[in-house]
Amino acid sequence: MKRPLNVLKKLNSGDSFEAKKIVLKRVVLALILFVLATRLISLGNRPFHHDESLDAWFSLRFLDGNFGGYDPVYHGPLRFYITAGFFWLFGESDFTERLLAAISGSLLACVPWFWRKQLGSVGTVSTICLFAASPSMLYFSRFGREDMFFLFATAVFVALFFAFLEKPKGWHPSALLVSVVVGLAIKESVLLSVFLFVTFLFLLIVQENLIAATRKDIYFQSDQDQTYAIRRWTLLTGLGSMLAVFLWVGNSGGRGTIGKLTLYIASISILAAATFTFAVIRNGESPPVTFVKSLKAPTRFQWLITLVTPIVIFVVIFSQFFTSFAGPKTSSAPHGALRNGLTAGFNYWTSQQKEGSRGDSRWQYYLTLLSAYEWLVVILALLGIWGVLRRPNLFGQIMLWWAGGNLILYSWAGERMPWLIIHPLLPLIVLAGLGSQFLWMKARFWKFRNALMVVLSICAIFSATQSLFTSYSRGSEPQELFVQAGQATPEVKAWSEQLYDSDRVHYAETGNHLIVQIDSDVYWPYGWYLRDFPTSTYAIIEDGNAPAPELSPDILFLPYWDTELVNLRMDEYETFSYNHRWWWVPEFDAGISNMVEIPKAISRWGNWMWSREPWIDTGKGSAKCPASLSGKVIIKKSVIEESRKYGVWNNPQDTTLPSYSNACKNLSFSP
Amino acid sequence: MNFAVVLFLLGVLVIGFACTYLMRTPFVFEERLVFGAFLGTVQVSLLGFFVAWLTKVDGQMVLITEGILFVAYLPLMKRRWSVIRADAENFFIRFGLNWKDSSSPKTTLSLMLASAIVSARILHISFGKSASGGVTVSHLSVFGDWSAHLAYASSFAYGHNFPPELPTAAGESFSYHFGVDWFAAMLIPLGADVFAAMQVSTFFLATFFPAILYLGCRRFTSNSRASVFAVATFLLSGGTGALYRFLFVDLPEGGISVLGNLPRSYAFDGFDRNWVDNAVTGFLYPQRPTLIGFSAVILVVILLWENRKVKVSGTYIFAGVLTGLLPFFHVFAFGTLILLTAMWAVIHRRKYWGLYLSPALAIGAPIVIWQWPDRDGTVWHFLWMLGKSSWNSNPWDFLWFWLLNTGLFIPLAVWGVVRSKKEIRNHAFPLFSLLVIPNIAIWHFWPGNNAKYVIFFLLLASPFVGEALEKLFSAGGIRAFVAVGLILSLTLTGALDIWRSMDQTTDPYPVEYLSGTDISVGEWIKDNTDPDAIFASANTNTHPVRVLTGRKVISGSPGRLNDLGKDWYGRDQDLRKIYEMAPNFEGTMAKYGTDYVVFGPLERQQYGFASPKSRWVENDEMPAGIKIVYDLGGYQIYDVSEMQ
Repeated sequence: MKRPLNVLKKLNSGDSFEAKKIVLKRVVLALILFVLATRLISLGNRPFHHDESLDAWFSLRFLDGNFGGYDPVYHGPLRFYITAGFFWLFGESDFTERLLAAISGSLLACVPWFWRKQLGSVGTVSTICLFAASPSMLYFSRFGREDMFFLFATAVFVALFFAFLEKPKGWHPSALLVSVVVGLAIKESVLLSVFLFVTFLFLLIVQENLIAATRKDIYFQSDQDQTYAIRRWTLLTGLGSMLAVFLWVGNSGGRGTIGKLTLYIASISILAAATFTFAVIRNGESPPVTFVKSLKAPTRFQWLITLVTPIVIFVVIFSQFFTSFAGPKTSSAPHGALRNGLTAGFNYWTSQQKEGSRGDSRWQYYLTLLSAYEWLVVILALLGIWGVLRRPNLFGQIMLWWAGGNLILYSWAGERMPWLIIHPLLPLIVLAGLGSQFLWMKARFWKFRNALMVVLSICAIFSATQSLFTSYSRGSEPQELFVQAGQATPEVKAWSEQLYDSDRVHYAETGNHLIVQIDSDVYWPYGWYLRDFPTSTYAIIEDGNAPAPELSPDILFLPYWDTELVNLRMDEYETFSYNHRWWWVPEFDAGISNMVEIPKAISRWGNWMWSREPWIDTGKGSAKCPASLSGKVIIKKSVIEESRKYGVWNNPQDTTLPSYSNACKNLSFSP
Repeated sequence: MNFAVVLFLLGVLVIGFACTYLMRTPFVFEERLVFGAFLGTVQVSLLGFFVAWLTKVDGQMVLITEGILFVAYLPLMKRRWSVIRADAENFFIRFGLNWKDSSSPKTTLSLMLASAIVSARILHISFGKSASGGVTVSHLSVFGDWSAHLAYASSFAYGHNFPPELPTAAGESFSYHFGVDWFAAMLIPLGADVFAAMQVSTFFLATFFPAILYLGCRRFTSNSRASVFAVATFLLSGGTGALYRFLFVDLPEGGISVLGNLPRSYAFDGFDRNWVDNAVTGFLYPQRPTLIGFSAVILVVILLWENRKVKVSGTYIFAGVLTGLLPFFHVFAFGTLILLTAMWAVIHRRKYWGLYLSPALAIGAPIVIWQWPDRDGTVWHFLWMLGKSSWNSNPWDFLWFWLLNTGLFIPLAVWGVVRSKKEIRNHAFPLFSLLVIPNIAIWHFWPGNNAKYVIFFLLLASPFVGEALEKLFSAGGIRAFVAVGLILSLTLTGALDIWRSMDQTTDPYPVEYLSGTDISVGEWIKDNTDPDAIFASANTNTHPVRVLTGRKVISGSPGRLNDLGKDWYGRDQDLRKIYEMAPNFEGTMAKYGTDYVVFGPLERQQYGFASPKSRWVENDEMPAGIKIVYDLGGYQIYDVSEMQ
């Protein structure tokens, strides 16, 4: 305890600026190396999620020259290119598939360094520590979807946005637009970010107009208080209005949503114009608007670059480096590659809004996840928000707007998935960093400072330990709320390895490869794991298209609903129960109907927090223990015998699955 | 690469880094890091070898080895902690400097990054999966030389080869500098398989090598650009083959797309007219000991050079000990250093050379004597390859031979040496002896091995070539154009060959190296036979018994045994006797203490029997006392240890 305290003291001591900078630099460097290690160690161990396997598959297709082009169903193509680059350089593996997410997750830890003046030394270190230990950040930095990469692009965008307003440079506009194009090439959610920060710009103008209109003398304390008050209330009113607008938008469908949001932005822009006029009338001159000042920073040539660079990058990315302008011609991407890049994402998104929600349907989903995993961040962030609201500055306002806006937007949007938690979480972590700095400054002269430090340290250690368990040892187990329905069980990996071994010995014995049929309903992530399997394994098994005795596949993977369809000579086969994917959807945010249920709710949450014990709900009957998409593996006895003879039968059917001690004690995943 | 392997390599780096503080030589932080990678490898390998000899090759052995070294260096690190911090601080300050600044570490780091990228690509494609569940290879280096290296590494990891015997010739002494293969074997108990162990150990050493060379060249060049030229001319060497074969034949025929599938190597033509291959694809990649040997020579030269004025005895002794240990890793590096330093000692006649040469010879000579081939392969001759292969003995072919194989490297080196400072020049002239040696004798049974001296000339003369090119380049005008032309002529062949080795699908590669059946039989042997067991198996280029199990065999590939001065012919004939059931073949088996005889596809192909079982079954003459212990997938293994 003494040593970290000394480091923190040193960071905030009266030492020279250079000395403090060196200490901070060392601490930050050590932390970033730690972050990198936590992201990379055993990165390939967890079985693949359905989406990860699809990302890997498309990257492979790009590497092989068979990628059709951008299709919004699978989001932007940029990460396929980069992952394909990793495959080319380091080989195809689970590790390299997740490498982009891990690197993005590590680079994100560097972002607070660029905000060190705003965060303060303790705030910077705390932000990186919280980022390093955050269960969600760690888990999804080791998850091969595009979200962490997109979050990194968003963070760069926000850093540039802030820098452009705070200290504009000529290259900022082009960098900002490039970050938007890059964001678009990763995920369509960039539209939400653009909406969020355009709205903020209008609010900023409103705020500055109001300040200019009401200001008398900047050096008067009362004037400063008034400035703070205007900033505070503009921000809160803005967030409130956004919440109200999205409550109003609700499930309006694609067009309705666009119409209402346009109306919202139009209203704020009218408000900006009105306050501008008001300020001009009051002061007799135009108020100093930061955004307008910033626009004057670039030269004409730099504006030309601003125009050209994003276009070139857009064309390069969406035309697959000028190799294909045709596009995949699917229903969701029916046009040429460039037009798809501009419009298909938007069209797909609006169509999704019409179709209703995917994933978890509860609006409070992210609030629940934040409370369950990120309670320490939330507590510190509340302190940070308090600090921001007391004396709002541009940085604090942007962070609060980003956090609050993202929470509203993602809670409203049609798709609620665990990996999206990181988008509101990142600004909350920065706010928590501000909170830590605020607390440190306030607590300097407190009597109980050491006691407070001890309590916070215990909380941090507990949270970090849970984070490590969540990401490393039980990262694929369904009692974790991050484990969504697409997560494959360890059995999938075990069977994949068995298929390679069994095929090797079968080929050695007979000169033929095994005939393996995997039902399309349970094909992923086998599509990835069996990428080097010498024969095709994909099969559509349905009524009228089920394997018959004469086809006689060697191995068959079926979901439980198709097991009755097959018509084989079953005396030649052995059948194993099998869990393909699993999940847990507890009623974790259902209301408590009477006071008697409170202790029980606290107890089950406590159990879950302490040992990740799942629960089944008391009396409502809707909640269940973790469950799996189960099925059967039907395998020829001769193949098992052959594998045993060669000593390569590894009993994949006996893969260890998690067991629970409470209400789900006797849970058997297979039917 | 698993986490244990990463930790092990980080440990190697830390140990080597600490070791640099033993010397008084004023290294900067990044120098300590890159030299440390090499020094750590040497120390961990050597100590690990003896610990493994006393115990066994397992994770505990690796832990003990690194543990001992950590404990040994801990007091030193503690004592020098303030210096280490100052070095690190200095590094960060210099890192902020402009690229052009001579003390900026950015060039060193960039070279490491570039090397890591190229190495990662080349090495990750070196092995692949075949359709039968076996292993493919994608380069001649792996198909050829690595077959022996795999056998050596496996023999330690799986065959507990202590005291070391040549696993490819049971009963013979291990007359080969196997240090780097032992280093790879140390990764196997940490969870790497033998293929990954080769890839990772090569990657680790190859990543640091260009930086080591660059930092060495900085001592003898006027600026960092000259050093970069030097690094490029060495690593991308390979003669002028591409100037004609690529620019005038392949490029006009195939257009620019030919770069996507280069039809041939330009520095190597199957030992016809090209005898000095590219430094990467002909030496560092296939001939793994050079990964240590090249670095060692550079570091020792740096130590001696930096110490020339201060004359610290400890540094001479340290350099001498390091040199003395080299025969374990690369005997040619040892020979090169002894030759050069002996000449320097004769020229300068100072007693400090004794401080260097005494430990070098006291440690190195016994190892060399132990490794000395049983038969003398020296053949005296004149002007190396002239009069051999497609080269005629005439002055025109003499000039053409060196122009084709090294381009204008030699004249530029001469020019660079002549123009250099007197102090440097006096030390540089002995380098040319490395060109004389291959021209007066064939030293190692096969004339191609003489290139192993020429490559050291290219390595050590590269700073002078770099400096000469820099002088031309910085003069501007037409001379700058000439410099660019010269750089292209010196590097195009090597660059194309390296590019080709990064392509996975260049004909005829990838080829199946081991089949799925081979893998199965290898796994069975590893799990079910004694590590000391001796096998009779086909002496083809590759065989699962050698590559996968580390068990000793009667004969490995005859060409490689010939290289090592072993009686390859006698062993080849003995194998034929066994497989052809010649009279007293039982006695021949007993002569080598054979425990198992393998009958598989390679034996069938090599010794021409038709039966899917074995010659013994085919002739219906099963010798008494033998029993079949494995009969799967076309492989039969007979236990002959109790044969009467």
